[in-house]
Amino acid sequence: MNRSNDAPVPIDPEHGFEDLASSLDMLGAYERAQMPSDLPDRTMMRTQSLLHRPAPEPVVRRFRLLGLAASVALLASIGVLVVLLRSGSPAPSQPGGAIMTQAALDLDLLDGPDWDGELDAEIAVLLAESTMLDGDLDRDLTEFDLFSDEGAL
Amino acid sequence: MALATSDEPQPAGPEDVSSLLARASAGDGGAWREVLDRYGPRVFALVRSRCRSAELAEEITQSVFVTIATKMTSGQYAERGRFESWLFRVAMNRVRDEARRVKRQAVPLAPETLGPLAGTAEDEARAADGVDPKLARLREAVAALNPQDQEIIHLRHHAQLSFRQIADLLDEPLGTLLARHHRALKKLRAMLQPDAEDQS
Repeated sequence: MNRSNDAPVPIDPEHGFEDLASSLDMLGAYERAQMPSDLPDRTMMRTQSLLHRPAPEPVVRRFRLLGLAASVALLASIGVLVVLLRSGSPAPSQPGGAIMTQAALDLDLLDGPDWDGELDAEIAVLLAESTMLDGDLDRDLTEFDLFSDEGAL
Repeated sequence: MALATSDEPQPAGPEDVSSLLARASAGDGGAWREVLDRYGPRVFALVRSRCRSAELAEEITQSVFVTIATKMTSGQYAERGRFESWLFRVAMNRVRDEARRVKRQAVPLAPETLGPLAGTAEDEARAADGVDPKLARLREAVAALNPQDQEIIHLRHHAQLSFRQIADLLDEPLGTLLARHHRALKKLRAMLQPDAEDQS
């Protein structure tokens, strides 16, 4: 009998029992022959639908996994956002605005809690000169609604 | 070791198996049919020897190949030369699952009267029908071995697995497996000794 993976084995367990092993092989052959001849046909019918489903390519599988991961991350983000909104916590302020507000307070330019958020051009210039701005003056000031409708500093 | 007769499915070389499995995985019906023809009798003989009921053996054999087809066509199986170990592991697991299921449903008062997967009297009669008396005695002797020894004999001689494949499947060192097989043959020889003496 051709059992291709047999060699090499450390010992031959069938040594001295060749006749018995041979009889067992005959018994095995008999048992294999007992399989109903239509069993492969019936099995084929059961597996037919599976065969017509093409196997996904590895790349496609990888993209599917990525898509799944992205979907999960998106859902998680939405969930966090909903929780934040429901908890009533204020939306985080704009970083540029926060810096400028802090700068204005440091410079004692703002009038405490009554300050209505509108700075005139003079204050803006002072802020621009402060080292706390990141150099993109137009953007920072725009965020703080420092420009008038004319848009000129 | 006796040579397999020409009408039996011959275990194929690894290259043959690889290309055959690749085609079967791609949904090639002809290749899949060849897989069934090549491995079906071996799986059936193993399952049949473990559960004794022909009807149940047919059902389990079919379900094994459905599992295999599902895994292969969905890309969950990558051929690395261990198809046979995998196939027969699936078969053995399915037999064990069935044994556990039957055990759960068995009547608690008389568990010894019904082996986990014993067949009906009709099954036994059918199994004995037309069998060479020597083979029938050998089969009885194998059935008298403990379950672990039976398992090795069935995997080796019914499923036609190599010792390496059996060691891989049972997750045992090769040396241990060879020793177990040797001891099982020794026990069988002892059981059949009176017959040998009669003949002489």
